[in-house]
Amino acid sequence: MRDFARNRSSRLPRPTPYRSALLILAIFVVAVLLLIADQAGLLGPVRSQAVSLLSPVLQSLSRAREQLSGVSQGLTDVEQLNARIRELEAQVSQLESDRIASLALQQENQQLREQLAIEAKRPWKLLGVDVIARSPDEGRQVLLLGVGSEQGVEPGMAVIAKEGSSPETLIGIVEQVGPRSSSVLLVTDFASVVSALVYHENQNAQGIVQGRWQTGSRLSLEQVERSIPLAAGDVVVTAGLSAQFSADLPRAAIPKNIPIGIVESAQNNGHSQTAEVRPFVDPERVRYVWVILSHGE
Amino acid sequence: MGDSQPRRIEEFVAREIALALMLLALVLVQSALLLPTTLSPLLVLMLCRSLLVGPASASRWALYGGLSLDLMASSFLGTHTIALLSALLLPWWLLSRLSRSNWLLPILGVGIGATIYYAVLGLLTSWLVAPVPAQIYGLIVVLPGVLLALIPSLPVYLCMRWLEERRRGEVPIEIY
Repeated sequence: MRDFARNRSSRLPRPTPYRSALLILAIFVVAVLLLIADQAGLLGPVRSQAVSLLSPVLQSLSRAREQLSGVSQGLTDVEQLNARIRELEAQVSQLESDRIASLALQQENQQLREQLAIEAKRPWKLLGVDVIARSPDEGRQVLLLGVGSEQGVEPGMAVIAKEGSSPETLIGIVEQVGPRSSSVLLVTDFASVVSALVYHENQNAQGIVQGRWQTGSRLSLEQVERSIPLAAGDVVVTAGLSAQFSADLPRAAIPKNIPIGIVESAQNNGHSQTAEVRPFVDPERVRYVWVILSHGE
Repeated sequence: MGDSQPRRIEEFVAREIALALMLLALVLVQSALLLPTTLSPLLVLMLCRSLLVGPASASRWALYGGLSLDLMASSFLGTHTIALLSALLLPWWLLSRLSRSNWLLPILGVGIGATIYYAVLGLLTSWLVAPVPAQIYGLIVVLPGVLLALIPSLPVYLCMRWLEERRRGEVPIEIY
């Protein structure tokens, strides 16, 4: 009973219905006030600092995810699984950790080679970085990168990626930047609008590439003039005019002629044409991207 | 006797910080480790918590978890908190007459709560970012989100109920 008495004295008073309603109301008011303050841009620095603090944790989790995904991929293939078993039987744990380390170096080497190949072809200065997190819900298509203003990243910079033999493809635009982190709005998000050129045979026409992920597809090309008939297989690239569509972006932040995707089907709606576009790279699957720091145009 | 009140406040603050850090860790794992699906473990946990112990306790989860989700989703701070708060109130109010041992309680509660959560989130996103066609958003985001939330709802609820009963059972004030 002494314990009982001690417990009773050290506990907070039980919440009454009135106090519960007051607490819920207070939290709702706090949330609305935060929303208003953030929309007015008052909380930008706080948010940047918070994301920068979380960035190392996210990077660690991202590495763990890479290792886990490697294991699960191996498990799906019986031949790989058998080879993996034989390999594990033949190796001691030290050699195994060395092998994993060398794989990571090999991957990094491959990524740097790809970066050098792009920089040799184009007058761009690139910054390669791992994707450390994605938007936790389906409301927005956003990636989080572990680089920020300290590495020279600024809002409006184009972000590209490669997948297998695909060309270096635009996957998004840097939206918010903290000291050591940045968020990228993917081109597939419905809020993303990018000016584009579509090449049909030896002609080209301007249009707008708009994200369509939330509406069930990926990209659509719109407002293309009728004089150049679009067809499946036409290549869509950036036009470098995106500053016209978003006053927040620095002028000419997206270089010209970055591949975006390929036309899958086209429709003529009277005064202009629209088309479904399949991106060269699926932005949801990328794990490593490059930010175009400068493009010399 | 003189310092009992400050100690209680310190304990309260420590508990709140621990809760906030736990929910932040959950959101970090959800962002960095889980595949890009519409499954939201935080939503399921918070709704079950609300059905078990009432909306006041779960509303604190909504605040801390909602702010963590906003940081990871680059949405305006407060957006997810409002959506989570909306999601926990109506199911609790509608289902408060059902017994906690009724297996329909978590299924109905999570179903209603998840629908409200995604609907409010869609409305706020449409209002603050860009408009989304409601019918297509419902099919692409709300429907899969609600169905995925329903799958773990019963086991999560049973686990939380068991933990809650065990926790209460160990506290003498609840027994005598």
